[in-house]
Amino acid sequence: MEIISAILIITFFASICGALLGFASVKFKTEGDPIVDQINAILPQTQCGQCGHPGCKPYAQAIANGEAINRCPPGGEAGIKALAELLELEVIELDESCGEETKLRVAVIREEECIGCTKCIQACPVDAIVGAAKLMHTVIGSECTGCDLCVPPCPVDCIDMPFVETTMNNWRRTNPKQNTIQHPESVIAIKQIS
Amino acid sequence: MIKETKIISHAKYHIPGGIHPKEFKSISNQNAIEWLPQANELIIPVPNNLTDKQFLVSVGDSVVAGQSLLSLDDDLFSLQIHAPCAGVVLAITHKNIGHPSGLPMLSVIIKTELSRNVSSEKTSSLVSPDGWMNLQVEELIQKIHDSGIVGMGGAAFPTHIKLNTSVNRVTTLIVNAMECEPYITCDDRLLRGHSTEVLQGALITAKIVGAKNILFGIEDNKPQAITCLENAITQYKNTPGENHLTLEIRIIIAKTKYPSGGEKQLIQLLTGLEVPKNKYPADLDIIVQNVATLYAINDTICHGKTLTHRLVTITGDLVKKPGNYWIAFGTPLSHIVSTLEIVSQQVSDIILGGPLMGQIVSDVNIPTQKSTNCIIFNADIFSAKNIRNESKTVHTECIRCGECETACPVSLLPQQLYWFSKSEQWEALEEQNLFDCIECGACSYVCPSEIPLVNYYRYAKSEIKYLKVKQQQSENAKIRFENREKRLARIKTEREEKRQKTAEARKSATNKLDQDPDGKKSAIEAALKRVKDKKEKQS
Amino acid sequence: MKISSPFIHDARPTNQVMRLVILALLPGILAEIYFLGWGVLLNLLLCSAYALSAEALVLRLRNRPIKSTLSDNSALLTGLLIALAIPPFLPWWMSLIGVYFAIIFAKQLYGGLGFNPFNPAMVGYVLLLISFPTEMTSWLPSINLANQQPDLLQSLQLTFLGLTSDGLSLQDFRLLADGYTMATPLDETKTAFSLGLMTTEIIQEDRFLPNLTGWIWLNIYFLIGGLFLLFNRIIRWQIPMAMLISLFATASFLNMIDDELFLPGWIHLLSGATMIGAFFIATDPVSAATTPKGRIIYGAAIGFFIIIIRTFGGYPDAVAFSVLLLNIAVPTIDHYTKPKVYGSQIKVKTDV
Repeated sequence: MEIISAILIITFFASICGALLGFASVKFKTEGDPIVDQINAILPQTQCGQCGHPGCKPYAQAIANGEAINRCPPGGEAGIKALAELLELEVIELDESCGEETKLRVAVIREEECIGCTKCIQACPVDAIVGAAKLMHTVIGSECTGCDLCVPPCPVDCIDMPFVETTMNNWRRTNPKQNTIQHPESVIAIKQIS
Repeated sequence: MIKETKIISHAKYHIPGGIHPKEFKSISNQNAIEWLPQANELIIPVPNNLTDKQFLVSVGDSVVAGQSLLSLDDDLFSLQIHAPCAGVVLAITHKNIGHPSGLPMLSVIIKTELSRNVSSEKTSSLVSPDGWMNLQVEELIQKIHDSGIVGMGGAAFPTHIKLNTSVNRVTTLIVNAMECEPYITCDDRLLRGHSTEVLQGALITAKIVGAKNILFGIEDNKPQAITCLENAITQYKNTPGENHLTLEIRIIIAKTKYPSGGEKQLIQLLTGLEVPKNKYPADLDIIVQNVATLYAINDTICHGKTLTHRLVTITGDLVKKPGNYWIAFGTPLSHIVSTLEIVSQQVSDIILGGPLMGQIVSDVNIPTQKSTNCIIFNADIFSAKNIRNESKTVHTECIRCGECETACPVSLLPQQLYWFSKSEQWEALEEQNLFDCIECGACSYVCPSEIPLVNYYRYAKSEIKYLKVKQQQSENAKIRFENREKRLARIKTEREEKRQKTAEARKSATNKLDQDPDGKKSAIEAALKRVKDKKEKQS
Repeated sequence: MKISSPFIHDARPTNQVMRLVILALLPGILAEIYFLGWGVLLNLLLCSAYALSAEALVLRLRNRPIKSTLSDNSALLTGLLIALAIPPFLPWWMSLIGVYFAIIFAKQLYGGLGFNPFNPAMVGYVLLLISFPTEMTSWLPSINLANQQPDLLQSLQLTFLGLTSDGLSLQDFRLLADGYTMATPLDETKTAFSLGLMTTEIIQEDRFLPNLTGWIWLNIYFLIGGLFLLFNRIIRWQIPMAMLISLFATASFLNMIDDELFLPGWIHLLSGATMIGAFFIATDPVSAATTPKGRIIYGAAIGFFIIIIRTFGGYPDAVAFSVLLLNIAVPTIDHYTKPKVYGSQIKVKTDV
């Protein structure tokens, strides 16, 4: 007899809790970003294709379907970390076969050599090259993402990819972890680096 | 304690936190101001992105003291740069001038001529001391702009911009005579020697912005300066003058505490008001100016001098003749070392500025600039007497003692900022108001583990800004990419449509032909006939 | 980027802070040795050795420099605090377990000094208390009761062998002349209340007051050490003051409700581990709250819980449990007591 009443009471409470939870899940539902958009927001939008996909959005879709998160060299270590945090996955090393994480580059056309073939304009995924057929082409430096896609199509190989210069406007401070010592045996409080 | 009078009163408010480091002011404030002999070479940094066209001078030109070097647009944001002394332009090239980034800056290098002490010829016409009362506000601001005056307290913000945004807005001019950092004494000696000029500069500024009262904020460790200032004010009030401004002038003495001299802290100390986040003192009807800036304003308006020199405290245990010197901008540190007989072999790390907010340099060839108010030559900054006489400890881990939170004048939580900076949690840092940090160094000063906290905050601020820029660039690239995709898709659809249209047109033409067999047949027959006739004609 | 400002410092380095805390413990240590015998000294030496060896062992495993880390004196301090918290003549292997657990699990495995969320000494003590309740509540009566206390040789034998050469065990030393087994005043009162006795009866008991007096003196000496720390600005006033006031207030409140069922505030204030808890244990900077307002709440809550657990809980003293409970709450307390940052209010005063 007691068992039956115990079962009834527990069932009663369980159904109350279940009803509350159901109500809450409907009433307080939040419209979140679909996961693909959230992943895409983390990717650097270089549209370079080094991950093997034609652009960042397709790669974001692939990640949502389970692809590895370490295939984006321009995103680098920071990108992998952010993706790992978003998707609650483990942080892994960048896949070397996709490329290396390097400093940012920009494309620069050597204008004297340009023949006006528009092949690079068609290749640029963000339309950062200005020009027209038989007229000179030039790269809008501030819009270039350094994806490298314009270099192969150029028939006269007149595009350079120098590193973005550090100027007064974009210099970054070094991480203090690189020039402070903790638990050392030496007596200098803070190590100088040049 | 100095007695309160009609002019002098004691500060009623307090700033939270703060520290009381040893002052070391007596090293350099014993003697009157002197002129440093002129250097042989001056290095004047200019903005890096200037093109040749924007220079008024070129290599080989002779320049006079106070001559403008740049050709500026008529844009009130640009700052003119002048030659501090007469000489010849030796070169215009990139040089290391000790910028924290380590990047070299484009500089004009001038080989100076006569080794005169006084440099003042130029620029505008001499205006008699009271004559400035008759000038228009725009004229006064223009003169200040042309003279290249910037905030001399260390931030070097263009004064004419500050004045422009404060005209007809502010009611109170606060004069910053606090000089709260150890070692620095230039404002102290400036007031002891030139209170009248500083007061004059304050009056000019008050007239420009329309202020109704002037408050001189000064720490209680400068009794002689307070007396000199009081005398200057009394004299001004007692001297009859038809054009005297009607305003209240008071001196408010605050207890010595670092960093009471920060602009926001000074406002809180003297008025009890806090500058709201993301707003400026002008939003509280207040403008703050350093005494050296006011002296420079007076020099420009009343004596027609361009800003070419500033008072710099040269101090430290390696300096035989410490004190305050008028030094031309662009003077290399090596000149100071040789002129003042500082033992150059022992000089390793030189502090530009004060020991709490200054910058360390080791290259003696870098020049002084408008923001350099002090240079400290100590034998070894880590074993100087001002450091604890303990065996040097190393940067151990944070023990969460909370001393930093007690010391912070902005009521931040430096401990949390440190842990978040180390773990690079940028969002949490912004929530903790990282950008309100004034980098005064009080937190690092009291840290038992000697953690270089300000270093971490500077790094974090730089990273957050960089990430924001990067995020913006990514957004732009994404939009451009998506627009491009749309454009290509549109072109494709248009082509499809066009192709379909022509295909349909062709089809309907063929259909029409099919549905009209006679017409078709007769047309073909007619064509065949034509061909036959042609053939017959030819043969 | 070269070295960053500021270039001057004026703070006591961590190892000096810890050294001064150990110095401040000295009056209390000497008092405890006097009142409770050589066993205390033995425990101090043993636990210090255990603490330093435990830390050295883990540092070796973690590949960290041993000498510089040990020289920050934090492990030594933990060892000393545990030694003062455990009863004298606790078997040597029990204190080994306690100290090793405290250093390894409650401190080093979290990352070392600065990373532990819980007070290591209290973690070690609580582990021992829960695992060996009988031994951990076998305190000697204080010397005022003029019973026999073991001498140095006997102390060594008791701690390491459990029995002296003449066959006496710890229980024998706890027996008074009339066959009564003595315990700490708080333990006594707890048993007495559960037997239905009233406060007045308990206090008037012959053996109670002399024993209590010993513990009161002990607390006073720890208080002296604590005041030394306060005046030298090694600890801040918020935690001890809040804790003691809250403790006294809660006890007095209960006492006011029914003074026969609850002890008066001053007894709570000066018995057990109150003073050592207020000045040396709750003030451990790593595990305590950090904001000034937060510290007041932290200290007050500890004081409150000490009285609650002492009165209504199962253990006679509750400092360790309260401290650990509040350690859990520290992140929340810190989050809700952030000071108002400059400029975050719309307008303060206006007076020029």
